[in-house]
Amino acid sequence: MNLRSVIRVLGFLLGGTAASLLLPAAVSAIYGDGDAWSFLVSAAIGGAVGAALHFAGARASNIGAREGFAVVALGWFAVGLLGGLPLCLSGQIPGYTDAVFEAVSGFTTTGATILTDIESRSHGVLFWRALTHWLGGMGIVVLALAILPLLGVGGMQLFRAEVPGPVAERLTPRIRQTAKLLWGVYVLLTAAETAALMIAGLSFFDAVCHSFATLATGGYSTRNASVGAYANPAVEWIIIVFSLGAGLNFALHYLALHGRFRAYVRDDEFRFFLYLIAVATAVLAVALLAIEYYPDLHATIRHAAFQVVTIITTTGFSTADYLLWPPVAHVILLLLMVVGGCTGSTSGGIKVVRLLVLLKVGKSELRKLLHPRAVTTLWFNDRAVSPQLAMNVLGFVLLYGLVFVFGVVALTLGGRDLLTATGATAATLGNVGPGLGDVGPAYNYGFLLAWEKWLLIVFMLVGRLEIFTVLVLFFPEAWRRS
Amino acid sequence: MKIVIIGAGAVGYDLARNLSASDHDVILVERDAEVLAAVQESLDCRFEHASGVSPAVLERIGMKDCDLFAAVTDRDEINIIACLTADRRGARVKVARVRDEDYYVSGHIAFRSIDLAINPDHEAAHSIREILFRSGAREAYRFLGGRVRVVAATVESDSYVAGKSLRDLNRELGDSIALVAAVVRDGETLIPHGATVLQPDDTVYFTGTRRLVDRSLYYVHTQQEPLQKVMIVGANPMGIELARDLVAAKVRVKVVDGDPERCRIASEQLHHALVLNVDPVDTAPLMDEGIGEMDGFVAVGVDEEVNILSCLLARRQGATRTVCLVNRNDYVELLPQLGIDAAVSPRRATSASIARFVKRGAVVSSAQLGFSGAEVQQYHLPAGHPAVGIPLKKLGFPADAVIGAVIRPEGVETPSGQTVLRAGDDVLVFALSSSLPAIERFFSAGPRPS
Repeated sequence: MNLRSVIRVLGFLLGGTAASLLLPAAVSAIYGDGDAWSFLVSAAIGGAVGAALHFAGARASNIGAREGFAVVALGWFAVGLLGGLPLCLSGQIPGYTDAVFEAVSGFTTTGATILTDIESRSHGVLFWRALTHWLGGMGIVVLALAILPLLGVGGMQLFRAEVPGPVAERLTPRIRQTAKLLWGVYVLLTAAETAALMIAGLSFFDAVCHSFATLATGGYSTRNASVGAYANPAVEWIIIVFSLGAGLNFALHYLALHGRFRAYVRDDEFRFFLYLIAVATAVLAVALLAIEYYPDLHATIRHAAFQVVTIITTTGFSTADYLLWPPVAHVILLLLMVVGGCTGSTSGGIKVVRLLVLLKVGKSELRKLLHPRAVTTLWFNDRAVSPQLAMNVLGFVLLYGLVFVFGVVALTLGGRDLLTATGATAATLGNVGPGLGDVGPAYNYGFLLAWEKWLLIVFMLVGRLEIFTVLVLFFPEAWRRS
Repeated sequence: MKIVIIGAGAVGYDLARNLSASDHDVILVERDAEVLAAVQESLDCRFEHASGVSPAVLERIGMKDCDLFAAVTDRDEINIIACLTADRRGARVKVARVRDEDYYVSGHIAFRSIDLAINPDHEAAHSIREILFRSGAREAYRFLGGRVRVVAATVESDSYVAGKSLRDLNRELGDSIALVAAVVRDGETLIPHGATVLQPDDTVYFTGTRRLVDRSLYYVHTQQEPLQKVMIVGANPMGIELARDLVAAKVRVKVVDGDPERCRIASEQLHHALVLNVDPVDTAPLMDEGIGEMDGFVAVGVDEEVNILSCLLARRQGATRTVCLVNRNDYVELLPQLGIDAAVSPRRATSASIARFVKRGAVVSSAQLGFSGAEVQQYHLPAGHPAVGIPLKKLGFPADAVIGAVIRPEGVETPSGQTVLRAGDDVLVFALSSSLPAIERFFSAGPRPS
């Protein structure tokens, strides 16, 4: 691996993050909450370290796959380390472990918080939390649609052809082009949601923070009771619609903006995603109606739909403590946490398309029992999927399962109960936020021990970066000079 | 008329034979000496042992006065390049045999200098599809881009038409039965007239619009069964194209081939068909896959003998309709006795579509009518032609020939004795080759003295 070129890019990423710290500094200054200095100091430190790394590194004419893995994985972690700095310096979050947890949770658009009382934090800190989501989301869209397909991670090549923009032979211009198009969509949707939320009655500050958290499928709210605090059905429906949009492939949004609305309907993943949401919502609504949990039908459907959408898109807002719902709701929401949203979206989890490929492989295996001589091909979006790609997807799901099991075992070894351990692993690995048990929507991750927090930090990164990207770095070959 | 044909394979041979028989100046270019030697004996035309893509060769043959340039080797790229080269050097009409879909844009060839691109596989696949959907059909062709259809069917002994003369049928059924352009009886082809009585086991060639031909089939084959399950032997381009066609028509399709690689390629192109890697003459696995319950069984593999064998197998197990790909005439005659319902030859389909482009005198196009041996010719009636304005029955049309369809801008008309030809009409004539000179004379007659 060409370490010096990796260092150079890391320096660039830190520099960029340092620059973005000026925004919360400005917010702090405007609201006069007295935290502006902590952001400025962090920006200075980040800028200095970034510059140092940048100049210590060397310009590489060609960044290969190994360097790509290292940049992505180390970059996300380094940015998280820097992002935690102002939270810690300002004293709003005591302890650097907690601060890094909060920042990584932000940048990976997880939304798992260690804060008990969110509302008493300064505006600067609340804004920075939302901004980490938004910046992380930006990174993920490009990562998922432009970088990972090129690195060949977990069957992401499936979508290579779906990515809009001219196909250039060299990596850089292609990524740059694609990134610009997709960020355009991202910014547009954010602006639209902010406007919609303000019309529904939110303040500008709350509207911006919640839009950032929705589009990134993060889930940091500015309120202790999350979105439920507003008790405003319009706000809830707006967030349902926009988090649904954030859970879809951004390439489809791009095509739709160019008038090709049928791209949605023709996408197998889109249809299956909506199908999952419809079924899950229906089951939850029936379960809630059976025990007459909510006074009327609209409230029941709204709360069921909100929780289903917010969990499957791995946003993780809440309008209700679903742990008080019937047990079937817990199971369904846990399954949705594992599934996650569509590829090319900002959501986490296994991704709907991989579940679809998995089901198709299963179906074709069953079919082979009936027709032993059948020669079968996997189809996705009316294209044949190569067996290699299918294996890649199966490998991904298998590895996801192994990491998941490892997480549950590790947390239970430390004495946590099964529900909490499962919920915490699913919620961090899937970048959801609220889990089950002691880390349910009404609680937070603050009470966990330091080692547990660091474990979950790694899980958030591993889940966010599609597992392979991080795990591949544990192979010694990855670090040798090619 | 000077015609240059590149490639002396099956298609090139058929084409050269058809065209040289009608007094054209045909030059056959072939690179492979052995192939050339094999065809030289039986063809009356000029031969060039050279590469058809070479500009020097084309220069030597002379492209300026070339009326038809047909590149029909089995390689798409060679055919395309040859046509482009010929175009640069002034050849008039260029025809290329192109199989690969990638060279087509929405059904049309992507090269403007190629006037006609033919795809034998598609042509044959289409033909098979038409046969499968019609119980009792033996052959199916389209003329003039599908405006006129010809479907051949065998007369069943308990059918409506058996034992009746064409005149009686015409009186009883009027416009609802298509014109019978040719009848094959005991291996002999005849062009019927009013007194001809249709007998059981005759093969009749119905001619007319698609609707009319379809309706007519009920009179020869009363039981029209739905087509729901089809098994195709041969995962080659033709089999794949046919499978795709059938799947689009909501038919459940199984494609069988002994070669794993061909199966893989087929399965990557056929989303909703089941591809099976089974030797087509291996009985047990085919029985497991329900060969006997098939409504249709089609064998389009490379090996004609295997095709016939697997059709026999399917027949024995109880498949309802069997269609077989054969190119050899000797085999074609055998099939009815073996109980195989229909035969299809891609070669014939191909040379028929190329021959459309040939013009000689008043003939606009000429082709052979499937396996019947009858000729199909298209003529154009100019203003002032003696036949204009006179009802057909008073025309004194040559014997062993019949006008099968009158093509007008407003539509295709099935002629009767009362039909009056108009200036500007195109007519489709079905005739035995013995009467071709008489027809030629009839249509090339000068303006009627007034």
